[in-house]
Amino acid sequence: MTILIRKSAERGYADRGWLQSWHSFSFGDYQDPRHMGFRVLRVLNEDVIAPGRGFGPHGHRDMEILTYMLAGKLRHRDSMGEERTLGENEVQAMSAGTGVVHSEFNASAAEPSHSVQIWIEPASEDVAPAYRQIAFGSGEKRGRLRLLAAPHANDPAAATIHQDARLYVTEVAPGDVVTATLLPGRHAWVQVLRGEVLLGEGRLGRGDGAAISGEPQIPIRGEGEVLLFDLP
Amino acid sequence: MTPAILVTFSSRTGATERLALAAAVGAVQARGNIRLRRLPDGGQDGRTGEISEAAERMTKEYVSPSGDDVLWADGLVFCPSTGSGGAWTGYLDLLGRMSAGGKLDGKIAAVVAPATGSEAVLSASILRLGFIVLPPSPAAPAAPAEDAGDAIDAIDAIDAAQVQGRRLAMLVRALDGKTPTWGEAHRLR
Repeated sequence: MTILIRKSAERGYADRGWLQSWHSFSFGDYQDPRHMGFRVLRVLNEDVIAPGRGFGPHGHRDMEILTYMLAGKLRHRDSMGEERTLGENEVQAMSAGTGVVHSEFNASAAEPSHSVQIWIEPASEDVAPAYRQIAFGSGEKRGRLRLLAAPHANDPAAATIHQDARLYVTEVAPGDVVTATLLPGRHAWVQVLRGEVLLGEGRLGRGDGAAISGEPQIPIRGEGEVLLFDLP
Repeated sequence: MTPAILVTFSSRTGATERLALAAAVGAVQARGNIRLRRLPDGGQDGRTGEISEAAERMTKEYVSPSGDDVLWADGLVFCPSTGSGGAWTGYLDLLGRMSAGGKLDGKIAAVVAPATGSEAVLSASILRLGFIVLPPSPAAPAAPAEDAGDAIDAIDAIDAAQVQGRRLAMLVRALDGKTPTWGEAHRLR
């Protein structure tokens, strides 16, 4: 198995007081030409936002933006008229397409929020902006891969994105082996959200990521929660 | 170049905010970078006199425009709500000082406003600041007043604001920093 591990502590880090953010890839003031993304995965940020604080209205164009909550709630508003709150076991997918302005704030006045934001390059530009939010039961990710987003997802339980990429979440317990199958020519990025997992011989802790290529099967063991991207 | 567009608005009920958001979306559609800023104006609902929920939210979500924002911008959109003249005084004073220092030279401005004369009043102020002013499209419908509340959702008004934001960013890109400065114009005697 060809695995390139991106250690949590080696990620870019930004502390704005109200925001602590760890960047797996170059983002904002953190720029490293060795870490500009992986395949079509361009941004992977882990954000902790102080109570009541957040990102004021800002614009995006031609990007598939996904947010997955680890703890707390985020309040989302956008120029499409969507006003939604995102919580645990939910994923939000926004196609910026021709242009979107949105804001994201921690919906709690007391507790910090903890989330992962993902930007995936779209397969084509100028798509119509769209917003989707998917909720699922916590049991749906235990010991199996739970599909969160896919291209042309016919399954209402997954969000449609404009790229030939799939995002899964899984929660493994000791004794579990959750295996992802990749078609020839496909690649994977694994991001550990909680706990510690084994990918083949590789051991990944919380916040670690791994780029995997040339492997038809990716067995995930250990104890933790993991995002898995199946990428072109 | 990537056009830098600063959208500044005043809004008590959130109605003019929707016009400002539409103008910002238009600028993003034209591949511009945007900053959205709100001028605090008390936040009292025009009908009830109470501080609206929308005003509380906007106070949290937006900051006021700064001189750095203005310097950053190639193009500026002004979105005044009905009867918000007082809210703009400080900002116009700041722009006046910057204009006197030649800091607004070559910048392009556009106004998107409810149809109660605030557009004309603000446009006149902007003209005196030395901006290159982008007039509204001849086909642009007049937006209803801020106190009209949800009526400002009128598709035509939102569309017109979006078109104006897009047009401004497109013009900035087309000129690509080649807008004439007052100094250049004066030298051509």
